[in-house]
Amino acid sequence: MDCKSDYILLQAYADGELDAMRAVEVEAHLRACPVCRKTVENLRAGRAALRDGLPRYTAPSHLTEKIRAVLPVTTPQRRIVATKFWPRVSWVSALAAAVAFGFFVGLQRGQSGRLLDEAVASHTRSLMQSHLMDVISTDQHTVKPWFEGKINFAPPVVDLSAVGFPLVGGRLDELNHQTVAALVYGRHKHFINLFVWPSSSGSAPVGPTESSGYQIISWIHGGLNFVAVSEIPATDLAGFVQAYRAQAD
Amino acid sequence: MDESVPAVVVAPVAFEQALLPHRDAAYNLARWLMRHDHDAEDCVQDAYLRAYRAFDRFRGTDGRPWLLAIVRNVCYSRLRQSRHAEPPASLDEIEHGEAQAMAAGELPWKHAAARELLPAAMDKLPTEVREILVLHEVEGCSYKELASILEVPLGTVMSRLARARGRLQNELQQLLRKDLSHGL
Repeated sequence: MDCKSDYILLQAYADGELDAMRAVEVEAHLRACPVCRKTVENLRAGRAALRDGLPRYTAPSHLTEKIRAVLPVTTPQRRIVATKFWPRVSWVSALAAAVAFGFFVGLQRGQSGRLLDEAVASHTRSLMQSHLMDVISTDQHTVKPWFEGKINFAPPVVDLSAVGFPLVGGRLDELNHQTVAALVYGRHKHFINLFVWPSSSGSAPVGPTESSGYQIISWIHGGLNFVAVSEIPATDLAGFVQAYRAQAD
Repeated sequence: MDESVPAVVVAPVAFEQALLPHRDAAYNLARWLMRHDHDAEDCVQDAYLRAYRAFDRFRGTDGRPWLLAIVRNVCYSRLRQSRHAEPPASLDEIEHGEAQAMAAGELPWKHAAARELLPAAMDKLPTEVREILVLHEVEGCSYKELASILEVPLGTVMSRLARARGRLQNELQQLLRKDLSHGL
């Protein structure tokens, strides 16, 4: 064994990285070579000094919450929202319903109908995870400014808690490759997604529709498209739209 | 359904179970690289977000090296952005530098003051040199894990580690000499 060129081997030995056979060979050499013995001794002393003399910093306790805060699905606030408002709809069945809806209805409708399909799909998706809200607030004065600067139109954000549709939050979404505002209102344990976008960039068919248990009401006002989607009864959704329009229009 | 769906169905439980236990390892590495508590926290937070976004590409059973590689990348890009950061030592300098770990004559480790001077000696090292020593000795990473974290072959891990040890030993010897001359 060439002592000068085998520093790497001695290092691997001192680091416990050699297999048993190579280790035995090195040990045989060490018994005969005081220079290499000293090298190994030095390596081990260095290892011990670093292990004992350098701190292993531990994450401060608040870091875990900071980490969770930036993860899209594990934000503690969203968990609270989820447990509080989580609808009794399994997301698997909701997903299946949305896919089936898209399959059957998508064939019968053109471009404008596809917007409704996507609205339903987005509504379903928003229930699956805490994708529901990017801004969580029951305060219209928090939700409304949140959209400013993110989109070039202003969705009317109104307070409907007095009539049983509390504002829960809002988010940006995408329907048919265009950015839309989604306002989220609550109704008992269910949600209503209200999608809003400028009518200049494509409109959905106006009126009420029902598909696979989802109620849809679509209208146009003031250059904006509105599509409300929910699994609540048709009369409830109609009541929501009436209350919303009474304040927003 | 659009392409945002797969990102949404990542199971948060799986992600947390795979990576959250390694937050101390992540913080330790970031703290040693950034040398600042808050910067280290920011880097770890950013690294977890990136890890979350890339989690569908995580194929291993051990999340630690995978996470540490991300932490490392975040830290280096922050250090590059920072005007106050030291200019990073080029890898060539480390791979082919004059510092050799062969010095077997003098054993600074046995010196009484070595332990006190060790943090100062570490502080004088370029980030890349400090990094491999911390990962190996403080974090206890194996050569194989080091190769994975640093994204270099095993042979490079061994030569880089040897040179890092040599440089630390040189710094420590210099500090010891200064310490002794002050003491006289």
